[in-house]
Amino acid sequence: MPVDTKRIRGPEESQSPLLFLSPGKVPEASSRQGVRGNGDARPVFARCGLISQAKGSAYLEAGNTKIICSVYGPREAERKDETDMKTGRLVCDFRLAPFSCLKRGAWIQGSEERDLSQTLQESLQPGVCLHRYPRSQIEVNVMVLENDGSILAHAVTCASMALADGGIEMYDVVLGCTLGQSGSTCLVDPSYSEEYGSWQEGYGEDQGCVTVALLPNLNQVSGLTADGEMREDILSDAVRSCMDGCHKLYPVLQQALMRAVKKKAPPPAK
Amino acid sequence: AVFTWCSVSTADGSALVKIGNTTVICGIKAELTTPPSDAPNRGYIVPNVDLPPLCSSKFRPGPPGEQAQAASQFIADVIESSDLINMEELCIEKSKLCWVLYCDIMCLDYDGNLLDACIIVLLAALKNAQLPEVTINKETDLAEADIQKKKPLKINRLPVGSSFAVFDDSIIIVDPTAEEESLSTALLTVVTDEEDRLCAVHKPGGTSLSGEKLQHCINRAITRNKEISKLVDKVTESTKTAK
Repeated sequence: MPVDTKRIRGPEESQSPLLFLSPGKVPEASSRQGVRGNGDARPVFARCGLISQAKGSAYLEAGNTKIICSVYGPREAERKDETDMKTGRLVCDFRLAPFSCLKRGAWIQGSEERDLSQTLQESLQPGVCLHRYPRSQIEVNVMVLENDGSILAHAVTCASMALADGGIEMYDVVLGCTLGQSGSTCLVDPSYSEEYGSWQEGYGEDQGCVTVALLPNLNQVSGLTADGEMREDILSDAVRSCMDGCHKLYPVLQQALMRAVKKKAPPPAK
Repeated sequence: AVFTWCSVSTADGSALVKIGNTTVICGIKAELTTPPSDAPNRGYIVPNVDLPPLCSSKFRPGPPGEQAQAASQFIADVIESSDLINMEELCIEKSKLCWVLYCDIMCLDYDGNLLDACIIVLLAALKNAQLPEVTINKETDLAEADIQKKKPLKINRLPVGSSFAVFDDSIIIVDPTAEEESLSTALLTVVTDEEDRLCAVHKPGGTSLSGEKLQHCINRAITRNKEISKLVDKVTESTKTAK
Protein backbone atom coordinates (compact mmCIF):
# COMPACT_ATOMS: atom_id res chain seq x y z
CA MET A 1 0.00 0.00 0.00
CA PRO A 2 1.70 3.23 -1.06
CA VAL A 3 2.26 5.73 1.71
CA ASP A 4 -0.39 8.42 1.55
CA THR A 5 1.57 11.60 2.09
CA LYS A 6 -1.35 13.88 1.48
CA ARG A 7 -3.44 12.85 4.43
CA ILE A 8 -2.80 13.04 8.13
CA ARG A 9 -1.23 9.79 9.12
CA GLY A 10 -1.95 7.80 12.17
CA PRO A 11 0.10 4.89 13.42
CA GLU A 12 1.74 2.53 10.99
CA GLU A 13 -0.59 -0.32 11.66
CA SER A 14 -3.80 -0.76 13.51
CA GLN A 15 -6.30 -3.53 13.93
CA SER A 16 -10.00 -3.46 14.31
CA PRO A 17 -11.29 -4.57 17.71
CA LEU A 18 -13.46 -7.12 15.90
CA LEU A 19 -10.39 -9.29 15.45
CA PHE A 20 -10.06 -9.56 19.18
CA LEU A 21 -13.51 -10.69 20.10
CA SER A 22 -13.41 -12.91 23.16
CA PRO A 23 -14.73 -16.31 22.08
CA GLY A 24 -17.86 -16.44 24.16
CA LYS A 25 -19.14 -13.12 22.98
CA VAL A 26 -19.29 -13.32 19.19
CA PRO A 27 -22.58 -11.77 18.10
CA GLU A 28 -25.11 -14.07 16.46
CA ALA A 29 -25.82 -13.49 12.80
CA SER A 30 -29.36 -12.24 12.47
CA SER A 31 -31.64 -14.48 10.49
CA ARG A 32 -34.43 -13.46 8.20
CA GLN A 33 -37.11 -15.41 10.05
CA GLY A 34 -40.28 -13.47 10.45
CA VAL A 35 -39.00 -10.22 9.01
CA ARG A 36 -38.94 -11.00 5.34
CA GLY A 37 -39.13 -14.07 3.12
CA ASN A 38 -36.34 -15.48 1.00
CA GLY A 39 -37.76 -13.92 -2.13
CA ASP A 40 -38.49 -10.47 -0.72
CA ALA A 41 -36.24 -7.50 -1.20
CA ARG A 42 -35.85 -4.97 1.58
CA PRO A 43 -38.14 -1.93 1.51
CA VAL A 44 -36.43 0.95 -0.23
CA PHE A 45 -36.44 4.67 0.63
CA ALA A 46 -35.52 6.84 -2.33
CA ARG A 47 -35.28 10.60 -2.68
CA CYS A 48 -33.98 12.79 -5.47
CA GLY A 49 -32.51 16.23 -5.55
CA LEU A 50 -30.51 16.31 -2.32
CA ILE A 51 -27.21 17.76 -3.48
CA SER A 52 -27.65 21.40 -4.42
CA GLN A 53 -24.42 21.62 -6.39
CA ALA A 54 -25.06 18.67 -8.65
CA LYS A 55 -27.13 18.58 -11.81
CA GLY A 56 -28.97 15.54 -10.51
CA SER A 57 -28.69 13.56 -7.32
CA ALA A 58 -30.37 10.71 -5.52
CA TYR A 59 -30.23 8.98 -2.15
CA LEU A 60 -31.26 5.40 -1.61
CA GLU A 61 -31.69 3.41 1.60
CA ALA A 62 -32.45 -0.29 1.56
CA GLY A 63 -32.40 -1.73 5.05
CA ASN A 64 -29.12 -0.38 6.40
CA THR A 65 -27.41 0.08 3.04
CA LYS A 66 -27.16 3.82 2.37
CA ILE A 67 -26.03 5.08 -1.00
CA ILE A 68 -25.86 8.62 -2.37
CA CYS A 69 -25.19 9.52 -5.98
CA SER A 70 -24.62 12.73 -7.90
CA VAL A 71 -24.51 13.43 -11.60
CA TYR A 72 -22.59 16.24 -13.26
CA GLY A 73 -22.74 17.04 -16.90
CA PRO A 74 -22.84 17.03 -19.77
CA ARG A 75 -19.39 18.57 -19.73
CA GLU A 76 -16.73 19.02 -22.30
CA ALA A 77 -14.86 15.76 -22.69
CA GLU A 78 -11.39 15.89 -21.19
CA ARG A 79 -9.63 13.88 -23.85
CA LYS A 80 -9.55 15.32 -27.29
CA ASP A 81 -7.89 12.40 -28.97
CA GLU A 82 -11.02 10.29 -29.16
CA THR A 83 -11.57 9.06 -32.66
CA ASP A 84 -15.27 8.57 -32.19
CA MET A 85 -16.61 11.91 -31.07
CA LYS A 86 -20.13 11.33 -32.25
CA THR A 87 -21.32 9.96 -28.92
CA GLY A 88 -20.74 11.11 -25.40
CA ARG A 89 -18.98 9.26 -22.63
CA LEU A 90 -20.22 8.10 -19.29
CA VAL A 91 -17.64 8.28 -16.51
CA CYS A 92 -18.49 6.48 -13.28
CA ASP A 93 -16.77 6.76 -9.94
CA PHE A 94 -17.78 4.30 -7.27
CA ARG A 95 -16.54 4.97 -3.75
CA LEU A 96 -16.93 3.30 -0.43
CA ALA A 97 -16.63 5.64 2.54
CA PRO A 98 -13.98 4.38 5.00
CA PHE A 99 -16.57 4.04 7.75
CA SER A 100 -19.01 2.13 5.59
CA CYS A 101 -17.78 -1.40 6.21
CA LEU A 102 -17.10 -3.23 9.45
CA LYS A 103 -13.41 -3.16 8.73
CA ARG A 104 -12.17 0.34 7.98
CA GLY A 105 -11.44 0.88 4.31
CA ALA A 106 -8.52 2.85 2.99
CA TRP A 107 -8.92 6.25 1.36
CA ILE A 108 -7.02 5.29 -1.74
CA GLN A 109 -9.26 3.57 -4.22
CA GLY A 110 -8.53 -0.14 -4.25
CA SER A 111 -8.97 -2.58 -7.09
CA GLU A 112 -12.44 -3.62 -5.88
CA GLU A 113 -13.74 -0.09 -6.17
CA ARG A 114 -12.31 0.22 -9.66
CA ASP A 115 -13.95 -3.05 -10.61
CA LEU A 116 -17.30 -1.87 -9.27
CA SER A 117 -16.95 1.45 -11.12
CA GLN A 118 -16.36 -0.40 -14.37
CA THR A 119 -19.35 -2.69 -13.84
CA LEU A 120 -21.53 0.27 -12.95
CA GLN A 121 -20.53 2.05 -16.12
CA GLU A 122 -21.21 -1.00 -18.27
CA SER A 123 -24.65 -1.42 -16.70
CA LEU A 124 -25.70 2.21 -17.07
CA GLN A 125 -24.40 2.80 -20.56
CA PRO A 126 -27.16 1.01 -22.51
CA GLY A 127 -29.77 3.08 -20.70
CA VAL A 128 -28.43 6.54 -21.51
CA CYS A 129 -28.91 8.19 -24.93
CA LEU A 130 -25.25 9.05 -25.34
CA HIS A 131 -25.63 9.86 -29.02
CA ARG A 132 -27.51 12.99 -27.93
CA TYR A 133 -24.41 14.35 -26.18
CA PRO A 134 -21.58 14.26 -28.70
CA ARG A 135 -18.15 15.29 -27.53
CA SER A 136 -19.26 15.51 -23.92
CA GLN A 137 -18.98 13.43 -20.83
CA ILE A 138 -21.44 12.78 -18.09
CA GLU A 139 -20.00 12.08 -14.67
CA VAL A 140 -21.71 9.81 -12.21
CA ASN A 141 -20.30 9.73 -8.69
CA VAL A 142 -21.58 7.12 -6.27
CA MET A 143 -20.69 7.07 -2.60
CA VAL A 144 -21.65 4.23 -0.29
CA LEU A 145 -22.19 5.58 3.21
CA GLU A 146 -23.01 2.25 4.82
CA ASN A 147 -22.48 -1.19 3.34
CA ASP A 148 -25.12 -3.69 4.38
CA GLY A 149 -25.09 -5.90 1.31
CA SER A 150 -25.94 -5.72 -2.39
CA ILE A 151 -24.27 -2.35 -2.92
CA LEU A 152 -23.73 -2.77 -6.64
CA ALA A 153 -27.40 -3.38 -7.38
CA HIS A 154 -28.58 -0.47 -5.26
CA ALA A 155 -25.87 1.76 -6.69
CA VAL A 156 -27.11 1.04 -10.20
CA THR A 157 -30.65 1.97 -9.16
CA CYS A 158 -29.49 5.10 -7.34
CA ALA A 159 -27.33 6.21 -10.26
CA SER A 160 -30.16 5.90 -12.77
CA MET A 161 -32.45 7.89 -10.45
CA ALA A 162 -29.81 10.60 -10.27
CA LEU A 163 -29.41 10.59 -14.06
CA ALA A 164 -33.16 10.96 -14.46
CA ASP A 165 -33.24 13.72 -11.84
CA GLY A 166 -30.51 15.54 -13.73
CA GLY A 167 -32.50 15.54 -16.90
CA ILE A 168 -30.11 13.31 -18.85
CA GLU A 169 -31.93 11.65 -21.71
CA MET A 170 -32.37 7.94 -21.18
CA TYR A 171 -34.09 5.07 -22.93
CA ASP A 172 -35.14 3.62 -19.60
CA VAL A 173 -34.05 3.57 -15.97
CA VAL A 174 -31.69 0.78 -15.01
CA LEU A 175 -32.61 -1.20 -11.92
CA GLY A 176 -30.40 -3.58 -10.04
CA CYS A 177 -31.09 -6.63 -7.93
CA THR A 178 -28.87 -9.13 -6.19
CA LEU A 179 -29.39 -12.71 -5.21
CA GLY A 180 -27.14 -14.67 -2.90
CA GLN A 181 -27.07 -18.42 -2.78
CA SER A 182 -25.79 -20.39 0.15
CA GLY A 183 -26.24 -24.14 -0.02
CA SER A 184 -29.87 -24.64 -0.96
CA THR A 185 -31.31 -21.29 0.12
CA CYS A 186 -31.50 -18.41 -2.33
CA LEU A 187 -31.91 -15.00 -0.75
CA VAL A 188 -32.97 -11.95 -2.73
CA ASP A 189 -31.30 -8.69 -1.68
CA PRO A 190 -28.89 -10.20 0.85
CA SER A 191 -27.55 -8.13 3.71
CA TYR A 192 -23.85 -8.00 4.50
CA SER A 193 -23.88 -10.99 6.83
CA GLU A 194 -25.97 -13.01 4.37
CA GLU A 195 -23.51 -12.23 1.62
CA TYR A 196 -20.88 -14.22 3.46
CA GLY A 197 -18.74 -15.71 0.80
CA SER A 198 -18.90 -12.56 -1.32
CA TRP A 199 -16.03 -11.43 -3.48
CA GLN A 200 -14.24 -10.13 -0.41
CA GLU A 201 -13.90 -13.40 1.40
CA GLY A 202 -13.87 -16.24 -1.07
CA TYR A 203 -16.51 -18.88 -1.75
CA GLY A 204 -17.22 -22.34 -0.51
CA GLU A 205 -18.95 -25.00 -2.56
CA ASP A 206 -22.43 -24.25 -3.86
CA GLN A 207 -22.23 -20.64 -2.80
CA GLY A 208 -22.54 -17.68 -5.04
CA CYS A 209 -23.92 -14.26 -5.70
CA VAL A 210 -25.59 -12.86 -8.82
CA THR A 211 -26.26 -9.21 -9.59
CA VAL A 212 -28.52 -8.28 -12.49
CA ALA A 213 -29.08 -4.81 -13.98
CA LEU A 214 -32.32 -4.60 -15.90
CA LEU A 215 -34.13 -2.05 -18.07
CA PRO A 216 -37.71 -2.81 -16.97
CA ASN A 217 -39.77 -1.34 -19.80
CA LEU A 218 -37.61 -2.81 -22.51
CA ASN A 219 -37.09 -5.97 -20.43
CA GLN A 220 -33.44 -6.07 -21.35
CA VAL A 221 -30.55 -7.04 -19.11
CA SER A 222 -27.75 -4.53 -19.28
CA GLY A 223 -25.42 -6.00 -16.68
CA LEU A 224 -24.90 -9.40 -15.16
CA THR A 225 -22.26 -10.26 -12.58
CA ALA A 226 -21.99 -13.66 -11.03
CA ASP A 227 -19.45 -14.85 -8.50
CA GLY A 228 -18.87 -18.18 -6.92
CA GLU A 229 -19.85 -21.69 -7.86
CA MET A 230 -23.43 -22.21 -8.87
CA ARG A 231 -25.07 -24.91 -10.91
CA GLU A 232 -26.45 -23.93 -14.28
CA ASP A 233 -30.13 -24.39 -13.46
CA ILE A 234 -29.80 -22.52 -10.20
CA LEU A 235 -28.04 -19.71 -12.03
CA SER A 236 -30.80 -19.29 -14.58
CA ASP A 237 -33.44 -19.38 -11.83
CA ALA A 238 -31.43 -16.79 -9.93
CA VAL A 239 -31.35 -14.46 -12.91
CA ARG A 240 -35.11 -14.81 -13.32
CA SER A 241 -35.70 -14.04 -9.62
CA CYS A 242 -33.49 -10.97 -9.90
CA MET A 243 -35.47 -9.75 -12.88
CA ASP A 244 -38.70 -10.17 -10.87
CA GLY A 245 -37.11 -8.26 -8.02
CA CYS A 246 -36.30 -5.41 -10.38
CA HIS A 247 -39.85 -5.25 -11.67
CA LYS A 248 -41.14 -5.05 -8.11
CA LEU A 249 -38.77 -2.18 -7.41
CA TYR A 250 -39.86 -0.13 -10.40
CA PRO A 251 -43.01 1.51 -8.90
CA VAL A 252 -40.99 2.83 -5.94
CA LEU A 253 -38.59 4.50 -8.32
CA GLN A 254 -41.40 5.97 -10.38
CA GLN A 255 -42.96 7.50 -7.28
CA ALA A 256 -39.69 9.03 -6.14
CA LEU A 257 -39.01 10.55 -9.54
CA MET A 258 -42.53 11.94 -9.87
CA ARG A 259 -42.21 13.52 -6.46
CA ALA A 260 -38.94 15.14 -7.45
CA VAL A 261 -40.37 16.46 -10.70
CA LYS A 262 -43.43 17.86 -8.91
CA LYS A 263 -41.19 19.63 -6.45
CA LYS A 264 -39.06 21.20 -9.16
CA ALA A 265 -41.95 22.17 -11.41
CA PRO A 266 -45.11 22.35 -9.35
CA PRO A 267 -48.33 21.90 -11.32
CA PRO A 268 -50.08 25.22 -12.02
CA ALA A 269 -52.65 26.19 -9.38
CA LYS A 270 -56.15 26.06 -10.79
CA ALA B 1 -27.47 24.79 11.16
CA VAL B 2 -29.18 21.44 11.35
CA PHE B 3 -27.61 18.30 12.59
CA THR B 4 -28.53 14.73 13.25
CA TRP B 5 -26.81 11.73 14.68
CA CYS B 6 -27.19 9.46 11.75
CA SER B 7 -27.18 5.80 12.42
CA VAL B 8 -24.35 4.45 10.32
CA SER B 9 -24.23 1.20 12.21
CA THR B 10 -20.87 0.11 10.84
CA ALA B 11 -19.15 3.16 12.33
CA ASP B 12 -18.53 3.56 16.04
CA GLY B 13 -19.89 7.11 16.00
CA SER B 14 -21.38 9.22 13.26
CA ALA B 15 -23.12 12.51 12.60
CA LEU B 16 -24.45 14.56 9.73
CA VAL B 17 -24.51 18.37 9.71
CA LYS B 18 -26.19 20.69 7.23
CA ILE B 19 -25.36 24.42 7.31
CA GLY B 20 -27.51 25.96 4.60
CA ASN B 21 -26.70 23.73 1.64
CA THR B 22 -23.32 22.54 2.84
CA THR B 23 -23.69 18.95 4.03
CA VAL B 24 -20.90 17.13 5.87
CA ILE B 25 -20.90 13.63 7.34
CA CYS B 26 -18.39 12.20 9.79
CA GLY B 27 -17.82 8.58 10.66
CA ILE B 28 -15.54 7.46 13.48
CA LYS B 29 -13.91 4.08 13.42
CA ALA B 30 -11.92 2.98 16.42
CA GLU B 31 -9.05 0.58 16.03
CA LEU B 32 -6.38 -0.79 18.30
CA THR B 33 -2.66 -0.23 18.07
CA THR B 34 0.45 0.21 20.17
CA PRO B 35 0.97 3.70 21.60
CA PRO B 36 3.73 5.90 20.14
CA SER B 37 7.13 5.40 21.71
CA ASP B 38 7.49 9.04 22.71
CA ALA B 39 4.12 9.15 24.49
CA PRO B 40 3.33 5.66 25.76
CA ASN B 41 0.21 6.63 27.64
CA ARG B 42 -1.60 8.45 24.88
CA GLY B 43 -3.80 7.32 22.02
CA TYR B 44 -4.20 8.74 18.54
CA ILE B 45 -6.90 10.77 16.85
CA VAL B 46 -6.54 10.93 13.10
CA PRO B 47 -8.90 13.36 11.40
CA ASN B 48 -9.18 13.43 7.64
CA VAL B 49 -11.32 15.66 5.51
CA ASP B 50 -12.29 14.47 2.07
CA LEU B 51 -13.89 16.50 -0.67
CA PRO B 52 -15.04 13.90 -3.17
CA PRO B 53 -16.09 14.91 -6.69
CA LEU B 54 -19.62 14.09 -5.50
CA CYS B 55 -19.92 17.33 -3.57
CA SER B 56 -19.15 19.89 -6.20
CA SER B 57 -18.03 20.19 -9.78
CA LYS B 58 -14.88 21.94 -8.58
CA PHE B 59 -13.31 18.76 -7.25
CA ARG B 60 -11.77 16.06 -9.39
CA PRO B 61 -11.34 12.42 -8.39
CA GLY B 62 -7.90 11.41 -7.21
CA PRO B 63 -5.65 12.38 -4.30
CA PRO B 64 -6.94 15.10 -1.98
CA GLY B 65 -6.43 18.62 -3.24
CA GLU B 66 -5.05 21.62 -1.41
CA GLN B 67 -8.30 22.57 0.22
CA ALA B 68 -8.90 19.11 1.64
CA GLN B 69 -5.36 18.86 3.00
CA ALA B 70 -5.56 22.33 4.55
CA ALA B 71 -8.89 21.45 6.15
CA SER B 72 -7.51 18.17 7.56
CA GLN B 73 -4.52 19.93 9.05
CA PHE B 74 -6.74 22.64 10.53
CA ILE B 75 -9.01 20.10 12.21
CA ALA B 76 -5.96 18.28 13.61
CA ASP B 77 -4.68 21.58 15.03
CA VAL B 78 -8.03 22.40 16.60
CA ILE B 79 -8.17 19.00 18.28
CA GLU B 80 -4.65 19.45 19.63
CA SER B 81 -5.04 23.00 20.82
CA SER B 82 -8.50 22.77 22.30
CA ASP B 83 -7.77 19.59 24.27
CA LEU B 84 -11.04 18.15 23.02
CA ILE B 85 -10.40 14.67 24.31
CA ASN B 86 -8.01 13.62 26.96
CA MET B 87 -5.51 11.53 25.00
CA GLU B 88 -4.62 9.57 28.11
CA GLU B 89 -8.13 8.18 28.15
CA LEU B 90 -7.56 6.55 24.81
CA CYS B 91 -4.78 4.47 26.26
CA ILE B 92 -5.82 1.03 27.47
CA GLU B 93 -2.51 -0.31 28.70
CA LYS B 94 0.59 1.82 28.85
CA SER B 95 3.05 1.08 26.03
CA LYS B 96 1.02 -1.88 24.90
CA LEU B 97 -2.39 -0.98 23.63
CA CYS B 98 -4.30 2.14 22.83
CA TRP B 99 -7.18 3.32 20.71
CA VAL B 100 -6.75 5.12 17.48
CA LEU B 101 -9.83 7.07 16.41
CA TYR B 102 -10.03 7.55 12.67
CA CYS B 103 -12.36 10.48 12.12
CA ASP B 104 -13.27 10.50 8.46
CA ILE B 105 -15.08 13.65 7.50
CA MET B 106 -16.68 13.64 4.11
CA CYS B 107 -18.38 16.53 2.41
CA LEU B 108 -21.55 15.55 0.54
CA ASP B 109 -22.50 18.99 -0.75
CA TYR B 110 -20.10 21.92 -0.86
CA ASP B 111 -21.67 25.36 -0.58
CA GLY B 112 -19.01 27.26 1.35
CA ASN B 113 -18.13 27.38 5.04
CA LEU B 114 -16.58 23.97 5.15
CA LEU B 115 -14.47 24.42 8.29
CA ASP B 116 -17.37 25.32 10.60
CA ALA B 117 -19.35 22.33 9.46
CA CYS B 118 -16.36 20.01 9.90
CA ILE B 119 -15.77 21.09 13.48
CA ILE B 120 -19.42 20.73 14.44
CA VAL B 121 -19.77 17.33 12.80
CA LEU B 122 -16.59 16.06 14.46
CA LEU B 123 -17.86 17.20 17.84
CA ALA B 124 -21.24 15.59 17.29
CA ALA B 125 -19.75 12.31 16.07
CA LEU B 126 -17.37 12.11 19.04
CA LYS B 127 -20.25 12.70 21.44
CA ASN B 128 -22.14 9.91 19.75
CA ALA B 129 -19.23 7.49 19.66
CA GLN B 130 -19.37 4.32 21.69
CA LEU B 131 -16.21 2.30 22.11
CA PRO B 132 -16.28 -1.37 23.06
CA GLU B 133 -14.59 -2.34 26.26
CA VAL B 134 -11.18 -3.84 25.72
CA THR B 135 -9.12 -5.58 28.36
CA ILE B 136 -5.82 -7.36 28.14
CA ASN B 137 -5.95 -10.98 29.07
CA LYS B 138 -3.17 -11.53 31.61
CA GLU B 139 -2.36 -15.05 30.50
CA THR B 140 -2.27 -14.74 26.75
CA ASP B 141 -1.18 -11.08 26.71
CA LEU B 142 -3.65 -10.44 23.91
CA ALA B 143 -6.45 -7.95 23.80
CA GLU B 144 -10.02 -9.05 24.23
CA ALA B 145 -12.86 -6.91 23.01
CA ASP B 146 -16.40 -7.07 24.20
CA ILE B 147 -18.68 -5.37 21.76
CA GLN B 148 -21.80 -5.87 23.81
CA LYS B 149 -20.53 -3.48 26.46
CA LYS B 150 -19.96 -0.03 25.12
CA LYS B 151 -18.83 3.18 26.75
CA PRO B 152 -19.19 6.68 25.36
CA LEU B 153 -16.19 9.01 25.08
CA LYS B 154 -15.64 11.86 27.48
CA ILE B 155 -15.49 15.22 25.73
CA ASN B 156 -13.68 17.97 27.62
CA ARG B 157 -14.34 21.02 25.55
CA LEU B 158 -16.81 22.10 22.92
CA PRO B 159 -14.91 24.07 20.29
CA VAL B 160 -17.11 25.73 17.70
CA GLY B 161 -15.87 27.68 14.74
CA SER B 162 -17.30 30.67 12.92
CA SER B 163 -16.19 31.57 9.44
CA PHE B 164 -16.21 35.01 7.93
CA ALA B 165 -15.55 36.35 4.46
CA VAL B 166 -13.80 39.71 4.22
CA PHE B 167 -14.29 42.12 1.37
CA ASP B 168 -11.69 44.85 0.93
CA ASP B 169 -10.92 45.29 4.61
CA SER B 170 -14.31 46.84 5.32
CA ILE B 171 -17.23 44.50 4.89
CA ILE B 172 -17.33 41.24 6.81
CA ILE B 173 -20.02 38.65 6.28
CA VAL B 174 -20.65 35.64 8.43
CA ASP B 175 -21.12 32.10 7.10
CA PRO B 176 -20.27 32.66 3.44
CA THR B 177 -21.68 30.47 0.68
CA ALA B 178 -19.43 29.15 -2.06
CA GLU B 179 -20.26 32.08 -4.31
CA GLU B 180 -19.46 34.60 -1.59
CA GLU B 181 -16.23 32.77 -0.74
CA SER B 182 -15.01 32.89 -4.30
CA LEU B 183 -15.63 36.64 -4.52
CA SER B 184 -14.15 37.51 -1.15
CA THR B 185 -10.68 38.94 -0.70
CA ALA B 186 -9.92 37.06 2.52
CA LEU B 187 -11.37 34.31 4.67
CA LEU B 188 -11.19 34.03 8.43
CA THR B 189 -12.19 31.28 10.83
CA VAL B 190 -12.29 31.77 14.59
CA VAL B 191 -12.69 28.80 16.94
CA THR B 192 -13.79 29.37 20.53
CA ASP B 193 -14.72 26.93 23.25
CA GLU B 194 -17.61 26.97 25.67
CA GLU B 195 -15.72 28.95 28.31
CA ASP B 196 -15.36 31.86 25.88
CA ARG B 197 -11.70 31.14 25.36
CA LEU B 198 -10.03 31.37 22.01
CA CYS B 199 -8.81 28.04 20.60
CA ALA B 200 -7.71 28.87 17.09
CA VAL B 201 -7.74 31.61 14.50
CA HIS B 202 -7.18 30.66 10.89
CA LYS B 203 -6.59 33.36 8.34
CA PRO B 204 -4.74 32.04 5.31
CA GLY B 205 -3.44 35.13 3.55
CA GLY B 206 -5.77 37.56 1.82
CA THR B 207 -6.24 41.27 2.58
CA SER B 208 -5.35 42.59 6.01
CA LEU B 209 -7.88 43.13 8.75
CA SER B 210 -7.77 45.75 11.49
CA GLY B 211 -7.48 44.63 15.12
CA GLU B 212 -10.86 46.09 16.02
CA LYS B 213 -12.62 44.15 13.24
CA LEU B 214 -10.90 41.00 14.45
CA GLN B 215 -12.20 41.59 17.98
CA HIS B 216 -15.67 42.02 16.51
CA CYS B 217 -15.36 38.66 14.77
CA ILE B 218 -14.22 36.96 17.97
CA ASN B 219 -17.24 38.32 19.81
CA ARG B 220 -19.52 37.03 17.09
CA ALA B 221 -17.81 33.65 17.32
CA ILE B 222 -18.53 33.51 21.06
CA THR B 223 -22.25 34.11 20.42
CA ARG B 224 -22.24 31.39 17.78
CA ASN B 225 -20.63 28.98 20.22
CA LYS B 226 -23.52 29.45 22.62
CA GLU B 227 -26.08 28.88 19.85
CA ILE B 228 -24.40 25.69 18.69
CA SER B 229 -23.94 24.25 22.18
CA LYS B 230 -27.62 24.82 22.85
CA LEU B 231 -28.40 22.94 19.63
CA VAL B 232 -26.13 20.07 20.60
CA ASP B 233 -27.74 19.85 24.03
CA LYS B 234 -31.21 19.89 22.51
CA VAL B 235 -30.37 17.02 20.18
CA THR B 236 -28.74 15.05 23.01
CA GLU B 237 -31.89 15.47 25.10
CA SER B 238 -34.21 14.47 22.32
CA THR B 239 -32.26 11.31 21.49
CA LYS B 240 -32.15 10.35 25.16
CA THR B 241 -35.91 10.71 25.55
CA ALA B 242 -36.43 8.82 22.29
CA LYS B 243 -34.42 5.91 23.68
